[in-house]
Amino acid sequence: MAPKIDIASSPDLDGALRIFTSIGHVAKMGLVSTGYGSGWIGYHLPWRKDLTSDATSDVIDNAVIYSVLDSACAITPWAKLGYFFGYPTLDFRVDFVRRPTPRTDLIVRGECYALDADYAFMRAIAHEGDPDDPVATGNGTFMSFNREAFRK
Amino acid sequence: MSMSPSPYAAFLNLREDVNADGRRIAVLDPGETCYAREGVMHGGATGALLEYAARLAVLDALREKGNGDKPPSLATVSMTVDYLRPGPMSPNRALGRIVKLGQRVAHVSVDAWNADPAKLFATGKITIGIQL
Repeated sequence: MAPKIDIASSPDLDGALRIFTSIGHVAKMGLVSTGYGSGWIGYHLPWRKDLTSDATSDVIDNAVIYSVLDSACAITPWAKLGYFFGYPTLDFRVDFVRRPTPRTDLIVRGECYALDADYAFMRAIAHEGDPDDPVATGNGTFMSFNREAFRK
Repeated sequence: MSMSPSPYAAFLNLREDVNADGRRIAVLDPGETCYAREGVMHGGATGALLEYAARLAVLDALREKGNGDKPPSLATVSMTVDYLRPGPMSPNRALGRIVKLGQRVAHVSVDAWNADPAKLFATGKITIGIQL
């Protein structure tokens, strides 16, 4: 089983992203962080055969896309607040806009567009190079672990 | 109409089983590929479990309707998951219920539980496109 690492103990977002992308499900999918700004984090998912939905189409499975969109949102509040404040997923919706291109990497961006001590509101997009031609979009509500720890 | 296991289902250790009442369910016995944090399964793996169960429900409904043995082509159009409590790192199950089976689309409600089917850890609504 994965080593027990507390992401909250990482002093900076770069360190947190290194930890986040080196643990369990996220690491095994091969998700790599590529950059961040105020309230958003970018990722890259290299195409891989074991992430596909059947042996012949070579298309990334919808459940992978769901997962990377959810994952891309997970620590975006850090990019907005400048400090760690955990919000597990409360609900998440994905629209599978079009069929992915076979054997093609995904570019993913998660964004926290609003938050308070109780909830964070996120959206995410997955595309293959042109954000105006998305493969899928996601949005969801995340609920804080500990509202007392929130600093305005 | 068995569902051929996808490479990603194999990656997650996701498979189908049959419930006590004879209905097909999805079972996910999580390992490292599903791990999020101590004792907790990743929410993305939960999504995969629910989507798999929804597909099984649609295949069973089509078979009961008499669509023959030719496997239909299913494509998930959208899905929403409510996370009720953390998903445990032990065998998790999900059952899809058909809300409506149309000609082109099926609306499915899916519940996921660990040991007790009355204590859900996630529930979802999944819309699946059908091409016969």
